[in-house]
Amino acid sequence: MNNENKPNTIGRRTLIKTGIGATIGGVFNIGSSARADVPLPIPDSLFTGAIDNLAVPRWADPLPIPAYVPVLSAGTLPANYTTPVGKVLHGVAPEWSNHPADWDKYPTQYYQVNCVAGRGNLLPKSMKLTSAFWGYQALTPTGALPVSVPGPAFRFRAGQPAMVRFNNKLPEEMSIHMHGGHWPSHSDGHASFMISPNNARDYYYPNVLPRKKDGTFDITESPSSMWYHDHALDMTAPHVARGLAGPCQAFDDLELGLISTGVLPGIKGTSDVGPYFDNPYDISLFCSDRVFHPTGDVWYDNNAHNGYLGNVELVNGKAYPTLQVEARKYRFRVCGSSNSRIRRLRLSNNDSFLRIAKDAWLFGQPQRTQAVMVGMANRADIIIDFSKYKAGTEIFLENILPMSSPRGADGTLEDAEQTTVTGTPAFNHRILRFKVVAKNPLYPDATITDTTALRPHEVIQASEVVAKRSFVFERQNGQWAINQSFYDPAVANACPTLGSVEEWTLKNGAGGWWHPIHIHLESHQHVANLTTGLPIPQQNRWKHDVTMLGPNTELVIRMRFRTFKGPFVFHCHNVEHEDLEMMFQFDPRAVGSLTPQPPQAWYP
Amino acid sequence: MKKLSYIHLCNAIALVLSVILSSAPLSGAEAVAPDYLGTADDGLLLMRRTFGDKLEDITMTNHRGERVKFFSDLVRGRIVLISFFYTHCQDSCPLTNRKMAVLRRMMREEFGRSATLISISVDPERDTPAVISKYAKQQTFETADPDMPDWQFLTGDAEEIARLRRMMGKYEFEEEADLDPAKHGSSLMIGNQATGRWCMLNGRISTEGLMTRIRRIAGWTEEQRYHDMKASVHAWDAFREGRGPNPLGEMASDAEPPVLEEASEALAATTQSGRELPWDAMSGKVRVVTSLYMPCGHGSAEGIELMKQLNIEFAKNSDFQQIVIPLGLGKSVVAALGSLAKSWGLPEKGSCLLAAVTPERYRSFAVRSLGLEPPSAVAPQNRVLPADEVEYDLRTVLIDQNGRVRGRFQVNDADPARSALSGELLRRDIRFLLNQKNQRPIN
Repeated sequence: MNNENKPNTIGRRTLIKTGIGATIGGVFNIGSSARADVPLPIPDSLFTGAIDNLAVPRWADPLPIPAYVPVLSAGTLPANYTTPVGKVLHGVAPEWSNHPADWDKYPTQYYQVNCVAGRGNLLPKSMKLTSAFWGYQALTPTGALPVSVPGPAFRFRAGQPAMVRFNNKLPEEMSIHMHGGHWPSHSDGHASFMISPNNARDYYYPNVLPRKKDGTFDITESPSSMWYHDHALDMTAPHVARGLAGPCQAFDDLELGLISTGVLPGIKGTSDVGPYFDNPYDISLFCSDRVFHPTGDVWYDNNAHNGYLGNVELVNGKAYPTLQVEARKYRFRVCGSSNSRIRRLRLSNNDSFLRIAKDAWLFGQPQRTQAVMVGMANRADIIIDFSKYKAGTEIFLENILPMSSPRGADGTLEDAEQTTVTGTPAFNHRILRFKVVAKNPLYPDATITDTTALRPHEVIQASEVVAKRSFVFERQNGQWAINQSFYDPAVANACPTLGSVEEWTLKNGAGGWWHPIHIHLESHQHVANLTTGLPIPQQNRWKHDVTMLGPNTELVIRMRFRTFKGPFVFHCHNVEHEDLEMMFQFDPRAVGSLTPQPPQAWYP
Repeated sequence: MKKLSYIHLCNAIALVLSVILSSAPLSGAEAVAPDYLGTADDGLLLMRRTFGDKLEDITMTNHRGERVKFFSDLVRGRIVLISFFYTHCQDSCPLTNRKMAVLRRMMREEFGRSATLISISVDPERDTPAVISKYAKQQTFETADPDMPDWQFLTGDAEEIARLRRMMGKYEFEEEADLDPAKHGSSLMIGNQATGRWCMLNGRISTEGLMTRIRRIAGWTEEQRYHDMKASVHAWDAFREGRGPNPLGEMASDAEPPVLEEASEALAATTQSGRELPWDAMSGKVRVVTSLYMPCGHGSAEGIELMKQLNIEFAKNSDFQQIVIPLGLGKSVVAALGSLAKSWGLPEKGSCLLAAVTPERYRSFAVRSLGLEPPSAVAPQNRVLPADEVEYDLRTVLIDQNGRVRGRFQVNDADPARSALSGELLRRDIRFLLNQKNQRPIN
């Protein structure tokens, strides 16, 4: 590479090029074929001039670990709530002041978070380029944490309500969706229930489980790995691409017990103690991809209504980082926070690992696997055992699912969901390096095995179904339609009876597109694949909040609608498609209806 | 709510223009932020600006025969609403044009001449400047109104337009489909180059829905963008606290349909059998009155389909009566009734009557008995089809046994979901009035 520019005559652009050139030569030894993976191409001619994938140094910076959102107070209004709860412009859920006494098992914890702009090192520091982003900034009792991408992590406990005041300090409207949770309509992040600039909304997260028929709380439905992200009407895709996403984990007594008894990775006496359940062996991995302008800024084009693919992979908001791990078991909560990229992740040495959860819910028992498919908004909790590796070993997390356009992965959904990997994958792209160090002897390793019982699971029976509906998701004249129709605030497209079970057929109409379908409020279960007629794969036999429809997939699902009246939304989580109205409302109510109805309430 | 007038906007526009004219072409770090964006960070601008700023500056010809540079003459510093069309289109283009004509009048109030509507031909081989000029004349939308946003139909080099279309994401992956102008998307692009906000809009949703979004995406100021949202917050607060009506209006009623007014005037009309419509004899029946604007094929087809469905569901009840009034056929309407009834496949027996009415009597009946907006003359420059001389309120009206109006339903909305919902609400209220079960519970 040419490093001979004269320092006193060059402009900023040239400096950048020089820096990149030096890095490429140093890290990759281009020409000596030292690379073990395939670089990602710049996805579209619109991004001509973008930073090349090979120009980004690998494994230089440590993996960022999001801070916790500080609890401001418990049971009493914190000092930095300058207005009482519900007196901000966009108000609070009616459930805040009207709910059963047993929702308040523990005192309500208060938080406050700003939506703000920031600047930081999404690219490795050695490139000397900072990137602007939009992100979430948690307030402390006396000030604020730095704004970060992904945002700071919420830690919730089942039975302990949370009140979060989100202040919109950005020039565009916001809506916060706490994805995977069971929330009141007002606080769910419905696309039309937004926060206008310079205003606030009080999000009430009761952390209450739905009730079984006998009135007791249904612990099979207790969520683990959630995440929060922007959900504003028309603008979700650009906002998520700008960085508005962050982790949220919830713990109930069952999961805390698994940590206390050393089954799941953690430190007894620390990781099972609130409010933060601090756990160095339980790490969120937010996988996203971006295109970078030569100045280092994230490059998004608003015409990307088919979907947005990046040519640089980020984990926790950092391109190609390294995580130092002890020679022991870790729990990783992988989250597909990309707009459109679907990944199939494996370890570079093809070792197997345990998968313990899909989306928000722990499996009934672990599943041994060599690869996990993580679509848009999907989560996969995995346990990787590094105890078999010597200190100094380097292992990579790599994506082996090729994707040449936002239409979807190359190949079939069934291939992408395979849990075994034989032979050499045609495509691989490394996104994270693990570097193994000696185990800290103070903390015993986790005891989880292939047969450990995790969260009990109850299959929803056909006899419980009281209504059936079907929805066809397809591209129509360049637009994204459900049943040939589009999101309309005035129409609640599905109105289930509160407390009932319904069976929905989700069909991908045509065109070879992949559509990840996200249904808010509760989990759903896969019943039958009408396209292949094959049994549901093991990892899909538990619970879902985002179901991937491959080209021409027709899938039957069942779902309960409990606790909260609507309206809620369900939509394609290729967020560009969602922004173009591939979104419907469902509105659980006292007496359901098979036909569309007006929404029963509205919380603008 | 206070709305910003065009005059108020001039200051904002002048500020924006001065920023744009004084800075180099906006690319990356050189971009300068107008301060009302809320931030002066060039990186944030980069995320927001690239799309509009990268639109190619190709030269095209407008319907007036003028050569215009797309970016520098039409987009820079302005609000633009962009559609793609072709003159041979028999399907979505006339509907999209109609919608844009309505949006244009709404945009006049908010944005004045700071907005431009742009329709670009996807079939430039056939759509020569002469052809689009003639097409535009047929649409008769030219106006001397100094505040009306300009509307330009454009054609040009096929390859350049294809590139522009691709840039805007309006393309199909299969080449065959992409080359077929009939497959072009009916989505609209709204943007404000100066503020850097762009969004693709679904052309098939309601005009009010589109206008709310246009304000939010393309508005110049925070107030302009969010006055709808804030008005809605206040209306719902008032409703919850018992200080105001349900913002969902008539649609929200869940039990007995409200009595809106007395249908005081009889309908004097001729039916398909040539006899006088027996309005007074219909007292004691539940009546559904549908007006169909015949020149619009889409809307009337949907209305007819709903009439047939209602007939199947309710005609066995002797207390049910449907009346369909075809409009826009001029003097030939009486003669046309028989063949219309036959072609629609309506039942011979009298549960569904077609009614031919003179314009004067229709106007009086629609206003006094149905409570509809009076038909209004459309100025030539606002017509989308030359035949659109009169604009009608086409809601279907439900009248109860005692001759009282119990509901007005927009059953032929451009958005099929909204039409379906209105149809369902109409059914629900008919069932209620016929003393059937109000709603079918599903368990």
